[in-house]
Amino acid sequence: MINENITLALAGNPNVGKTTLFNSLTGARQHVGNWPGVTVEKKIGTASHKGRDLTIVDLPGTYSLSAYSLDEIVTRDYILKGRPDSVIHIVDASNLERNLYLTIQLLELDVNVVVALNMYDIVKSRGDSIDVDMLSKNLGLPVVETVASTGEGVDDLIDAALEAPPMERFKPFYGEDLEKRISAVMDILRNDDKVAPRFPLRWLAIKVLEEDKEVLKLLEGNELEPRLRAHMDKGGENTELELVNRRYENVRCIMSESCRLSENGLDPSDMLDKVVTNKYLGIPIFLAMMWAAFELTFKAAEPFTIMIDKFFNWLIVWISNNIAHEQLASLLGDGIVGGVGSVLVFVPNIFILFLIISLLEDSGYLARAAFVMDKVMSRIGLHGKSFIPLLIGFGCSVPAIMACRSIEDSRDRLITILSTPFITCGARFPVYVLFAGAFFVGAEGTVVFSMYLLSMLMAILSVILLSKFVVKGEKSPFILELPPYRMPTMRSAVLHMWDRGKMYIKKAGTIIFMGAIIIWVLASFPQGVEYGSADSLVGMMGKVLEPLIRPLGFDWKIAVALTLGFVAKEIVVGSLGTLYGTGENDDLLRDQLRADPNMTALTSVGVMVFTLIYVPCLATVAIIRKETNSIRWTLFSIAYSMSLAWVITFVIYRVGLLLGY
Amino acid sequence: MDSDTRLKMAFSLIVGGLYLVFGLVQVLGSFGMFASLIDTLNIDDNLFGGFVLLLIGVVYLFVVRSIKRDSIEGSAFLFTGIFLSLLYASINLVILGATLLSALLEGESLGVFQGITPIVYLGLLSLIGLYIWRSTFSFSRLSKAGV
Repeated sequence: MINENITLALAGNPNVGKTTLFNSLTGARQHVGNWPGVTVEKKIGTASHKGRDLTIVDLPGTYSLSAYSLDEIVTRDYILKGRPDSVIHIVDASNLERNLYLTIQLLELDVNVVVALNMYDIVKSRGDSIDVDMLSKNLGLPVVETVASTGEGVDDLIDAALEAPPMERFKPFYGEDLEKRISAVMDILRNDDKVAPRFPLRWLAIKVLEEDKEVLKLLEGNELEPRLRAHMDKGGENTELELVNRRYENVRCIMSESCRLSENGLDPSDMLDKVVTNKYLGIPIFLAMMWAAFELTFKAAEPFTIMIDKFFNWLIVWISNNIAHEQLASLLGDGIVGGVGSVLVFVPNIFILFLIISLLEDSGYLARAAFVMDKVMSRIGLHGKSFIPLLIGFGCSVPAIMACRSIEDSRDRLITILSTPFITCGARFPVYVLFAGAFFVGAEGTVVFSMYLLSMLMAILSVILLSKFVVKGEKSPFILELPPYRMPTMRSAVLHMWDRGKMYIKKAGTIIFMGAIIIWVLASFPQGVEYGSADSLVGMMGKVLEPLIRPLGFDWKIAVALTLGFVAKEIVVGSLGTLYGTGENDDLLRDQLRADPNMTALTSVGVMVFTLIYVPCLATVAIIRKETNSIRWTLFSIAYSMSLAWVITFVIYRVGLLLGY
Repeated sequence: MDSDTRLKMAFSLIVGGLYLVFGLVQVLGSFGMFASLIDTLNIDDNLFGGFVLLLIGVVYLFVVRSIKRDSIEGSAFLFTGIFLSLLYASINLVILGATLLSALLEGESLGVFQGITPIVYLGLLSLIGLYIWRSTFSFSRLSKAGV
């Protein structure tokens, strides 16, 4: 009987629409992506259904309930220990066989389960059919057709989760031999009064035979352990494989009576995949897509950038005309408006970039990008799954590093965490735009695209260095499900763009605002010095730091900007605006940079490359600490990125000088 | 070989060939060659843009290679060629619109025809392809992305 405080857990394979359903039920706006592994932690929300209050828990997607990856453990632990009133198992109706494999495992957990047959629209459009009543009868579970993206069937699903009468459940059969072994292990476990009473006995016995490392950890030191070991050893290493095969046999048995597949030719999704995952064309198409993304980011944002620039120019003039107090006018105009404005002027570029990433993600193309890049990644000792966090890194390194949780192998996860900060995040973008616009007029888009290409090469180089010299080990196998292509909706893309981009605006109002005031104070004092000159505090600080980066061709102004950029990379451009006395006017700053005898096209490349590689921002360092759970690896990450940045920029600068640039 | 397959082959050969020629001129043009031809045909001098034209051309030419042994695979290349061609034409039209708006805001003059580059006008040929095979190549069978 379901109690008053009702908790429903959403479980299922990755990328079947769990988060879409969660958002639809709770009104939340958790991130949804058309690729596996978007949800890495359980998310909790509340909803109301026909006057009843519900707690909805969105669990990470898993293909099975084994204990190979963190997300599988999170899901399994919640179902077993959190004991939700009902588990809504969301199943991709267009890929039933693989999805029902998890259903079989949920049946063994002895919890209330309702199956949501999601994406039923794809089944219909393919001409396939599923006899829902027959499927429900065969499984012994309520089954409801749903289309989470449109909300179709969601009310019926919740009704079923709350009210469905108990049915006679399907009991998976593992064959005579295995069944005998399962019974024998169950008999042994019945004598245990510590672990066994906390779990469904048959499930526990199967996990013992599977040699599930989490379950074995629980039974470690138990007096029954030697007897259990004897049964585990009987099947050798084949028991787990045998169990998997038997589960699939059960699935096929259930499906044979309830599903009919049509024999149509290729659908648009298959047709696109034939080409975009082609061994010769896959990578060139990926590069062409990325280039188009940056061209669009740069050029489509231009009119909006002009409007924002005009607004801030007007504001600065208004402040200087209307505020009599000279120092207050300088603080507001040069400091705050100049500092914050120089960052906000890049909002259109950032938002357009995030919009494009959202469209690519929602369409399912990014999963293909991971697939085609697997060839490259496997050559350097990682697999394509590591490419997904790297792609998320184009937005922000913090969620990208969190996305590494879906990587099962701890070595691969660590290498990916340490390499992800080399991917150019949105905050570094303004630095490229500024210098490309100053020294590479007419080729800005191409220069910015080249920086993004370089950032991917840097991440790859980092993976090679780390896997060869620092974190040695064997590469794990790669399994990535390619989701079907979906038509991105403008609403979804704009929401995702806003979710990612609002952080940038929020930073402008907090960290950058504070940074602008601090820079203004440092640039204005001691009293009487010229604003931002070498005699000011900021100038003195730069002079102290200058010897460290002089070999790279940088002067004290760049030293200050890069140092302050450790807090947040957006501050780099704002600091330069202050130090060159141009405030938020980036066109004027570009003119000043071109006029500075210390700055050349070669030095500007150096600044862009150094900004790309050197120590990530404070928030990223904090998340590296959290995800690696190690101060040692965090410090290594800082020292490693600083050293690489220095060496590579030095080589570029010196070779450039030798070539006469 | 049926008439539809022959038409697909001929279409891909002509359109793919044009993309390859224009792509090659654009790539070489980015190194300063064919200045007068580039001016006459309104070709960009962007190196990466040239590679995109070459890439679309190659995808179209894969149709000719693969359709003989497997008509479904050939259709897949044709569909993707049309898709990529229209995608890049649309992107360039958006960029053209933004450039015109920027010029308007800055009080500069800019001719619309400056932005009608090969990637846009070759896209019109693919539009014809999409029209001919509209029943085969339809995106209406794709489901919508979730929110």
